[in-house]
Amino acid sequence: MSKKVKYHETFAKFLKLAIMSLLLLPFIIQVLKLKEAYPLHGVQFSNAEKYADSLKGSENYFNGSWQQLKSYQIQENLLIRNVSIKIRNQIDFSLFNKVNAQNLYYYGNQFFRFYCVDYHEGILFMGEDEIKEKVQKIKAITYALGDSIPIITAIAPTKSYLYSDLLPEYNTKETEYSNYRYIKKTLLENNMHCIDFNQWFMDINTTSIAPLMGTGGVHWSRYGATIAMDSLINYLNEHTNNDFKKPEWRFVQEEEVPNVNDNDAVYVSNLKCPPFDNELRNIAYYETDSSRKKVKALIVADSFFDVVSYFGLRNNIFTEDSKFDYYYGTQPGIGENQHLEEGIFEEYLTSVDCIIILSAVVNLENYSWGFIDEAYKRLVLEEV
Amino acid sequence: MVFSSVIFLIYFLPITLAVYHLIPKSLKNIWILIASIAFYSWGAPTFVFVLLMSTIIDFYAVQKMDKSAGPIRKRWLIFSISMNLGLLMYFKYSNFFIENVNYGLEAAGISTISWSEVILPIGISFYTFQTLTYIIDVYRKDNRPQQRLHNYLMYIFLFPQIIAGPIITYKKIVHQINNRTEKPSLFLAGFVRFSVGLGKKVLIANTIGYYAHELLFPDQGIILTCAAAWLGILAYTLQIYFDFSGYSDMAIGIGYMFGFKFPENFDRPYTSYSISQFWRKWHITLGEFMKNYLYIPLGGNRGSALKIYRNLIIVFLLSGFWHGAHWTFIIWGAYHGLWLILDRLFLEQWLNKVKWIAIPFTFLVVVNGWALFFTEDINEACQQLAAMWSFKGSTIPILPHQNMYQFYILLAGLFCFLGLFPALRQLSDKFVSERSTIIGQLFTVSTGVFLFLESLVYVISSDFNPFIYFKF
Repeated sequence: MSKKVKYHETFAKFLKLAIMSLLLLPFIIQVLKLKEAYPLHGVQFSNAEKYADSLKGSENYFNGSWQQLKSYQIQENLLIRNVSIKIRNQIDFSLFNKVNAQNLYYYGNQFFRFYCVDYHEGILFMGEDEIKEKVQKIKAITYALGDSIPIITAIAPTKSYLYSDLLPEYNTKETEYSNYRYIKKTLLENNMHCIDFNQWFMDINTTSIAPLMGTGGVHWSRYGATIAMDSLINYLNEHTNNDFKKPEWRFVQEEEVPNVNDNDAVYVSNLKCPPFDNELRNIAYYETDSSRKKVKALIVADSFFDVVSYFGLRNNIFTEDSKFDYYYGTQPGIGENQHLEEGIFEEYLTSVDCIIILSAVVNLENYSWGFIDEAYKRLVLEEV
Repeated sequence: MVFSSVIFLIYFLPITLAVYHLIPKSLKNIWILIASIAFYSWGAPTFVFVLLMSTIIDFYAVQKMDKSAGPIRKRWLIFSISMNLGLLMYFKYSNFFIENVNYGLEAAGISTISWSEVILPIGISFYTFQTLTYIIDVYRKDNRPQQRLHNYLMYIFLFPQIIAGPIITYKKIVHQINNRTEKPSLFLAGFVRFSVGLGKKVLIANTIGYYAHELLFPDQGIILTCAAAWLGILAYTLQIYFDFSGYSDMAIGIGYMFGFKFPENFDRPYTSYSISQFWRKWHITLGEFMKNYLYIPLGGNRGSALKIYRNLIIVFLLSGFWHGAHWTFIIWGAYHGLWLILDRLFLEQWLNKVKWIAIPFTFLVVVNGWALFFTEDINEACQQLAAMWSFKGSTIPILPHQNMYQFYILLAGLFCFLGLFPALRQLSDKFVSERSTIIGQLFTVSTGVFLFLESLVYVISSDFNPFIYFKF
């Protein structure tokens, strides 16, 4: 055997050993638990483990159902699974702008939620009759509560409108028969309260001193939420002859940790190198004006109110006994979300300064999430 | 168990390989047999007993056959073949026959046969063909029967190929059962080949497959336009090639890692000049099986032209039927059989004269064939073909991340038509010879490592991973 061939064989042996080690590495990591699972955001694992254990038994083994669940269980419990997901997501994102998270999309430099045209083109339109009926119910509730307790529908801004120029052409088609257009139109025609933050944000987006929505978020930024609440208080003061306290706030230096809420879409995208928004401004709230009254409100809202709720703004302008009913209890809430329990419903509603229904455009297909129907039943029908 | 699964890549393959390379030579075949049975029985262990029993009976029946002569020898042959074909008929085709008989009975107003559906054991078609090659080869005295039961069981259950081939005839592997060389360079070539196959399946076929599915099976109420139908079937054409050839590459690669050299199954089939050539380049081992164990015994190219055409049609009808117990597969087989007859009549000669049109024309024929193959529903196949040839509608539904699908389709097209895979294969095969430079070795292995790791990341982080050819 020539010296060269021998040399090559030795080198090949070394490479073979390296490849064998590479193949065995994930197994060794798993068995020796050498690495802690990387944290992921917004991931719900199936309960494969629980099910696999419940399926123990010869029948399930012989028909293969136990093995199927065991495979899922093994996959979900792999210590390198989370880091693999992050690398996969990063490759897809870097090469194709693809976001591997439910209902999240990336166009231009913006993350979008609900890319689909459904609400834009009115595919999920509730229907004229249903909207008219809802508005008539609001009218009747307002009458029952008295004009001093306004029911305000606040429509939160949506990136699909703010940055529609970044979306594919077919995704920006609009019709007046969308929930957004038609609810707003019907409310205003019936002299009901409606604040369209979506339109307002579109008007001021280019001149705003700070981002209204983070490039990596689907909700309004803390700044956006603050000026929206400021505007809401202005509106209340104007329409109820009150002088409620307005938000008191100032910009502060960026924290070292990126603003989680303003980058929510980036976080759930679970990228290895997430593109955080450097333009975002952080805000601190303070209270100097103790002479003015805070608003006592029932807030029926989606996650847009979370931004108000979790960073000090809620306590800055709303009383402590104000209630935030997340999706009116139709979605599992987190934190201090409070659902109105039976027995205090009517009493509470008559004690507030206002009722706020805050909804993103996309959530208008479930306008008020049943609150209007419930209030109508309790305050109007049962009283009659 | 499938190759592109976590359980295979993280547990089964590394452990099986590590033990295999550590134990003495005398135990290696037994270890492969144990691993193969574990591999097969992971999916549905019930069937492993049926197949084990049948294989053991075959082993002894063939030994009896070998020792006998004359009509008794033939009887053993018939017994063994009947048992294997009987199993295939029962598991794979009984549902189909009963379903069709019931259609007929229902139409005639007669009460139908009550029948509980038989579950298809994975890989039974490949298992049966492989077993048949052993029985027939020994009957023809091409080979002596295997003397050790565990070696025969290992050959039949050999995990790299039991599920979806390549179909390895006994005579091609008999010498490797006891004597195979396990050179490090062969192991490395196997790893690279396996990684290429895994990449073909996980990165390309899965992605294009999703796109094909979205186009070919539109939501209810959405009309399939001509453009969408063509794009969809083109995507499926690439998907099925990358899926199946990827599986074959993985099987061949694993074989190398254990010292086996399996036959090739694909050779740039979409660059064929005629349908006859296509069948020499697509699923080569099936083509060879059909030729050696069916076409030639039927008479092959001997006899009148009509007899040859009859033989061709029989072979392709049965080949279609082997793929699945549905009318669409039978029609697909007949469709290819007809093109082969046309080749014999005039087409191949004509295409040889106009070579510039031969590849696109053959490709078009193949693509139209896949329109019959992609679905088990004959109505869907007709709708697909009608949409393709309606020349109505140029709109294509734009899916999110269209750019990704376009990229992978282009990439797949490049690999299919520019012969990049043979280049990669040649590169990895250089390891078998010691002439390759160290840098060359490093580059090839690095390519394999990169493909393996990227594919592994995708396998671990995804849930959807079926192989198209599993159902056959």
